[in-house]
Amino acid sequence: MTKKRKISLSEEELIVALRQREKVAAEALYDMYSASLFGVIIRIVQNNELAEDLLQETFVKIWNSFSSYSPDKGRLFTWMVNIARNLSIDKIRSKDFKNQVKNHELDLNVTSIDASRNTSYKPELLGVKDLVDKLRPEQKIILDLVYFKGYTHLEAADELSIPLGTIKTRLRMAILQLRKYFN
Amino acid sequence: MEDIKLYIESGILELYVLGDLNPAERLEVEDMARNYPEVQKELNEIAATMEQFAVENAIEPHDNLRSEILGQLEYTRTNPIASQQATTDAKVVSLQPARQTNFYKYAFAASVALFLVSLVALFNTYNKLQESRQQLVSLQQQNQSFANRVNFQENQLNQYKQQLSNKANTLVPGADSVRSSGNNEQQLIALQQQNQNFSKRLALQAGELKNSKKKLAVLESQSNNIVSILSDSTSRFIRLKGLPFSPKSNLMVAWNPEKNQLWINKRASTLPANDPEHQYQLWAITKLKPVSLGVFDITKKDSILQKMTSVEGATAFAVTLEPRGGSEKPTLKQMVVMGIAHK
Repeated sequence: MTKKRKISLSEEELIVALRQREKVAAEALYDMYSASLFGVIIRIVQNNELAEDLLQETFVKIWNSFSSYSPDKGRLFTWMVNIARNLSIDKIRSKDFKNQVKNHELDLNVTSIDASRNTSYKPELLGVKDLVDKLRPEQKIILDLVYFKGYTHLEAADELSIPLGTIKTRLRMAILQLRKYFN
Repeated sequence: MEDIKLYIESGILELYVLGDLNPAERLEVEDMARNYPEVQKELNEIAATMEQFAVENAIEPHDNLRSEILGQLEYTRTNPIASQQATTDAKVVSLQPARQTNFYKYAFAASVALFLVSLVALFNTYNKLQESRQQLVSLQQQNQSFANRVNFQENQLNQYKQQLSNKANTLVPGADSVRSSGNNEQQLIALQQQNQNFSKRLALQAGELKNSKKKLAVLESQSNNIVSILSDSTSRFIRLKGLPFSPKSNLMVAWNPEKNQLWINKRASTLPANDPEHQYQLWAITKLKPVSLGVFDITKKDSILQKMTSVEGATAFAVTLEPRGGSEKPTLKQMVVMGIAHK
């Protein structure tokens, strides 16, 4: 693998450049966030080709609707990853996708998708997979359902037959656990 | 407060970050974030965690995808050089100008900051130097006036001596005429008395002269001490600043821990004069405990400097107003000035 130099800007610089629709902004945006977004997309759709299409759709949508992003409503990445997740979840819920994978029980386990792909992994990824495995099973299931499977918390409560409040607190506990790990 | 804590712990902020709320709920969260900084802070931390989570789980897409996707986007402004080179070697080119401007920006900011800091330091040092100079000058003036007084006393003494010898001279020829004139005896007695008076006055003057010399010697040794403390690089000058009890007061302390000497500059101080029932007491804070360094008065006719007890390892100095004679422990609510004994 050849080590390539990537463009990196501060979040403020990037936002200014994106508003001016400069090419350098698109390049920086791609270099800074494509791998993070692709990691989320591919875990949702579990298919490399489809994930590449969705990454493209995601970037086009980010680019074209950037005027609707406002920094005081949250981080740039939060806004972008939700675009990526919504497009991906819409895709796996669409008719033609369901036909495509008919009779094939999707395994949305985070570790299984990592096992099926052995290209271009970052070595430090292993630590995080360990971490996700270290979450309590009930925390991991909810993070999986909501984050990667696109369940709303209402659907997750229904699916797991757990009160809504419990779903919310377990999701909070899961994210708190991650926060503790990253700090 | 308690409600905010419950609100944060309900998990609604996590759902907001994950985009799992309806528009009404979203508006509510945004409203809360605007009104409560702790809600905003929690939101930021959740968002940062989820971004970190994505970064740690990142998977690099295929290399070809970059130009494919970047080719799909419409640009309003294109840097011709950057885009031209981008087709041949996209990643290397456009980075350098961006990084360099960044570097120079930071380098410039850093040097400006450094310049400002040194300007402030220079200004402080200059002020201290000025203060020391003023102290020296007023000391020299005091010295001079004492020397003048001593000279004056000496002149007076000489005059008295001369007068005395004159009287003695007139006394001797008078003695010759005693035999011839009987009432000369009375004159002689009067003269002897006068002589005695003069001797007494002379003795008095000599005593005064001695006292003046002593005072001068004390002053000279003080002055030498001051000069040595001022010119010693291990000396520290601490400005004690006014506290709410007496906000406009201040007091300079010159402290040489090496030589174990400590002086206060009373003339430059703006402490109000104390009444006869009270005295100011100087304290050092060492190892978090107050140690008394002695009491002093502020009157209209103060000498410039007063030597106080020195102390080792003081972290701060303070002055309180105490009953005459000082107290064992400082009366904190009557603390007038305080200063940190920084190095």
